[in-house]
Amino acid sequence: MAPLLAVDNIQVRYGDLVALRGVSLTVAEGEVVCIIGPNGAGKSTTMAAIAGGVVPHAGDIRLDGASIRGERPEKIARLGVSLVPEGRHVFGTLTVDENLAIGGQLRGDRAAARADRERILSLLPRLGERLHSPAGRLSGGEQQMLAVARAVMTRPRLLLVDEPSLGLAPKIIDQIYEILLDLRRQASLTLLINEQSSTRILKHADRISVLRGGRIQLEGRAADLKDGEAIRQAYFGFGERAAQPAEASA
Amino acid sequence: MIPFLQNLIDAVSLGSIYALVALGIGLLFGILRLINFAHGDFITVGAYALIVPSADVTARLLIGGWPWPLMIPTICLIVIVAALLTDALVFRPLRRASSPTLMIASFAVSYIIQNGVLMAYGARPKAVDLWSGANSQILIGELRVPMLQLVTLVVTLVLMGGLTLFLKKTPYGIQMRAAAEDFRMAQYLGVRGNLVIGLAFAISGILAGVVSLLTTTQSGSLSHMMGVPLALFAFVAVVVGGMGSLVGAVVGGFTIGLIVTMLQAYLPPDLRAFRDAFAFAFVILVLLVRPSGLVPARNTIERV
Repeated sequence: MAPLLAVDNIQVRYGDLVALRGVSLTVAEGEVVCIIGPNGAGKSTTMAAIAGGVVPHAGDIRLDGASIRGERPEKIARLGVSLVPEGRHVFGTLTVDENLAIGGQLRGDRAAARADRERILSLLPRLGERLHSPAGRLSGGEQQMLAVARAVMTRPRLLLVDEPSLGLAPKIIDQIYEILLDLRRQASLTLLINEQSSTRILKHADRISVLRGGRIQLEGRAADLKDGEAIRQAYFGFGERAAQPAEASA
Repeated sequence: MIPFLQNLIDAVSLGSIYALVALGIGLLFGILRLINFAHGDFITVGAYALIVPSADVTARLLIGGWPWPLMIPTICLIVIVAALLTDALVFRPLRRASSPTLMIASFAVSYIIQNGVLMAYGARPKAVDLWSGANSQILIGELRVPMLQLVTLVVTLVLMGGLTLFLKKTPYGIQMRAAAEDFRMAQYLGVRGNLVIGLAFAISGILAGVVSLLTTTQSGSLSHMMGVPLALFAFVAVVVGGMGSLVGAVVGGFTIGLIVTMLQAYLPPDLRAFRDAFAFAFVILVLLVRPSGLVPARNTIERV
């Protein structure tokens, strides 16, 4: 059986700049997969390509075995892929409620969308208290929660989360992960998460890919990479005999 | 006091027209980042649809002769079709193009419509009497309010109220606001881009259709260039109000109407010929003080 998502050797260029030099990965139904890598490694580009925001000039992307390469973002969203972008991108002039409504609008089943809204708000009472304020007035952590909630309102099969911890305090990051995992259990979500740091994600992910310079450097089960040594080498690109960098706690 | 109030009524009436045109331009700019100079020519299309296509000097009414409950929706429909065709033939192939490219394309559309009208109707302006009751006056105290100005104001308020309700309360309105703020993010959430853009063109078509009826009734004449000054003043109104803000477009429209009317009334007679130069000088002043307009678009406010 085909995996839910199969990214097959995709290459992406922005003008002369090569962002992805052949990235492959798979995500099976129900899995939590994490891409880790430094700034500029191509993590966001990989997610944008999956969600239809950029079209790879080579390679293929398949959902349930059917190619979605070159489809419009709205079509891919309707096929069950939802993106929580880096920087959150909540609609700041719309209220919290309207942001959630945008997430729910593609659902045919209004009653189910309403039920989902109630369920999400019960998990995120802070959003419930601020339903009618403009989303731009929320704090960074609240905006991140809203971005997640809004994406979940589309009832995705695959949720793409791009650097959910960027610019947030550790306590808030823990909350965000708690919510993601709660939602995953309740809504049988499959998760693909981008992170710059592996410390937190090793606990939660089933599998990990390390991306650097537009290439996958390492791929493996999170359980096998627990000590972090292989990840460090792939992340920083040192040879096996290279000296251990002091700051390699990433 | 009475002459001043009389001028104020003129200003509000002229401002209403500019506000309606500015809304049509502002709506498309919000969603597509398109400054649509062809919007004025949509107005021309609506106006010429009133009469029989011919090069004769005297215009014979076509749709303009129909009873108004039929005439108004038909004119709006014709302009909507023109706007949607423009989108499908010109702007859809340019979806990934930059904002200046779109603007240049809108100039091309503008010239094509003007020359199309020239070919079908000839170059001479045509006299049209759409509504002879338009100049009857209503007395409010000592004020004389022409019927047409009252109708213009009421129609403008109704259209603005309707547009506000649509944008705030309906699912498609909320989608349009989301797309205007962050088009790509809206698409990532399944909002259909072409549908939202088509809706914006359709609404700007309705606005242009209504303006074509109001201005034709007021001026009583048609010319293939009639839309150009409207689009120009409305564009200035959009800039003065604040690019990307619909409230700003309305405020800007009324501001321009007020400036132009008051200059016309109170400039020394020798200088009145230069009214527009004074008006634009005032616009420059406003922009020096408030570079992002009177009502800056909220989504340009920095978010944490």
